[in-house]
Amino acid sequence: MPKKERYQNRIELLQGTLDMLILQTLQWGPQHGYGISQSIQGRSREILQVETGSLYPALHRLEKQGWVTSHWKQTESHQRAKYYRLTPAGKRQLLSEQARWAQIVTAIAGIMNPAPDEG
Amino acid sequence: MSFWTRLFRRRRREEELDEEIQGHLRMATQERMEQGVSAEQARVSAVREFGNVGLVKEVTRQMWGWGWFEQLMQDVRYGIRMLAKNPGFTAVAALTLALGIGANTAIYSFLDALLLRSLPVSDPKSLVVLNWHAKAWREDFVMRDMSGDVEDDPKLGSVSGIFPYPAFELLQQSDSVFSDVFAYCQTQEVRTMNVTIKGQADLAHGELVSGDYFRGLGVRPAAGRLIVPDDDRTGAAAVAVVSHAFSEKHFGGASSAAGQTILINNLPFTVVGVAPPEFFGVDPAAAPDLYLPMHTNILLGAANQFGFRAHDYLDQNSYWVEIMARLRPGVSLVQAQATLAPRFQQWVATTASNERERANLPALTLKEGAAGLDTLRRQFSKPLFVLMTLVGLILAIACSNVANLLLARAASRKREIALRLSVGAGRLRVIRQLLTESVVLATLGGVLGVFFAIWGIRFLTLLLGGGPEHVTMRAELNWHVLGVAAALSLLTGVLFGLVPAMQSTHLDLASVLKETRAGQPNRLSSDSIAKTCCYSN
Repeated sequence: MPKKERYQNRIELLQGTLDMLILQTLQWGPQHGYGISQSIQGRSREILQVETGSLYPALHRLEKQGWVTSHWKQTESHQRAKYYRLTPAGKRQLLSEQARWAQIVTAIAGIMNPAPDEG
Repeated sequence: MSFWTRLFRRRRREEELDEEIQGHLRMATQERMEQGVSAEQARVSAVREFGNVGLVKEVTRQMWGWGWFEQLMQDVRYGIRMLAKNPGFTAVAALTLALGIGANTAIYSFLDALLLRSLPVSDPKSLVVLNWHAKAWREDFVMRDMSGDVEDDPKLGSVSGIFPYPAFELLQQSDSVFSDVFAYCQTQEVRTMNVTIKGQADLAHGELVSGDYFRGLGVRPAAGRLIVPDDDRTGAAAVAVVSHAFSEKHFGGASSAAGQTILINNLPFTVVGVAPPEFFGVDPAAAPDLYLPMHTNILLGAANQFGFRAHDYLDQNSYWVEIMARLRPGVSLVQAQATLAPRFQQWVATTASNERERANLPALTLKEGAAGLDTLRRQFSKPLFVLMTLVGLILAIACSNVANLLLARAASRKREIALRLSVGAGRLRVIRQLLTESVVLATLGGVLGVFFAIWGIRFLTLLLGGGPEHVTMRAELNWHVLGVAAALSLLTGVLFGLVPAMQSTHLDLASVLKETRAGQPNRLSSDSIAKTCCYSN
């Protein structure tokens, strides 16, 4: 039981951010679930680990929202995989998320590193 | 989108999700192998990194928005499997519930027929029944002759619905408040009659009705025509209308009854039509077989030395007709009463022959006629409510018995539940599953219960009616009653399932899982205990 609770907390914590990270990753072209998790992991220099239990629900949620579409394609190593692609609505969503993220970063930074003239 | 297309799509989606995840695992394995890890180790490590495949699938499926339905179906399937696994338990529990639900459904169907359904006539809400009340009626009272009932009432003294025929004629002239005024009665002549149909003699219950009775009620014939004002006068051709049940019993159907000639007390009558099947007269307790124009009681009475005579229609002190009326649109019951009570008062004063009679004149009151005359209600509603309470208690007892059975079984299912909880099922989820199981059980009980109810209704009809010849009420399984049975099943399912479910999910997981497998007889250990006992002896 405690295991389950912890699990759900993590999903909740990541939800907004993970969606943004996925949309950002798909900006560079269609990608499959494994590719997306590898890409986020790589670009964050192995700091961000994407749980599959969060990744796949997020992908399916984004698809339901109409921000990504999916299709089956061969990978370079000749395996069938489900590729996700950003839709125009997804691009708009990404832009608004980026703006919101920038706001949050500035706001938190303002608290964490107060400007010298204020101190 | 239809249910089946949705279900089909969901299947495919499910397969795609599986393929998507397998693809993920394959790619992860391959990448590890490219880094020089052995195939076996790569696979294990990829799976470990991925986590619980089942759980990932489940949380992903929840995003499709149909998760609750799938979970429900899953729970129902699982519930049915668990019940099938324990046929003994299931049979006992379902039968217990079936008896409880069946009894409640049967009694409810009577209450439904008796209290909740209105007369099968057009716009029953505008119908009113005419009554009078007086302080006392046994002595010094304008009513010197009567055929009907007078009820004692703690507040009003005495209440009755019988009037002299001249009073009916007076009230028929109340065009300002009533659109129709009609009368009916069951005098001695018609209560039980000898009828001969195609040479076969039988007994039948009749009712005398005034010419505008059927028009006033707004009833349409099932065949032929109904009685009209022209039939109801001295010297008119002798006609009769039969009930639908009577037409089926004696003529083999409504359409073949119309036009037939029958003998009533050896007098020829023409059956001009058949009343609709759901119509049982204004008094559900009477449920006549034959409706005769009121004035035929002169024909029928002629054969009898003390029978009805034409001059009885003029007698102002002989009370025998019951009166109903239909309010004009826009006229309320109170308004009508205010208009008619003084008029009746004035008339009835003229019928008194001395001062003491004048001091205790009957006063007119109007009552709603929507549910038919309430003889049957008065007679049966109290015992039915008592019965309803009793069977309600029986159901409560049945519920607690089944809850006890479930609690006992929960002990043997501890391990299963602990296992579910420990592999990540939420407590609410497990409670929901157990509740679904008990609702499935209750549904089974409910279905059986409906069969019990059908049987119970037949039995009660005999019991309340006093015998198969006197069936007075039509109680039946309709959607109302079935709806109540379904609601009862659902309610009982939750009621008896909730406590056991809450209790059995409240577990110390580790200690339960360490116990030996429950549900499977552990022969070895019990044998060794027995042996130990033997040796120690």
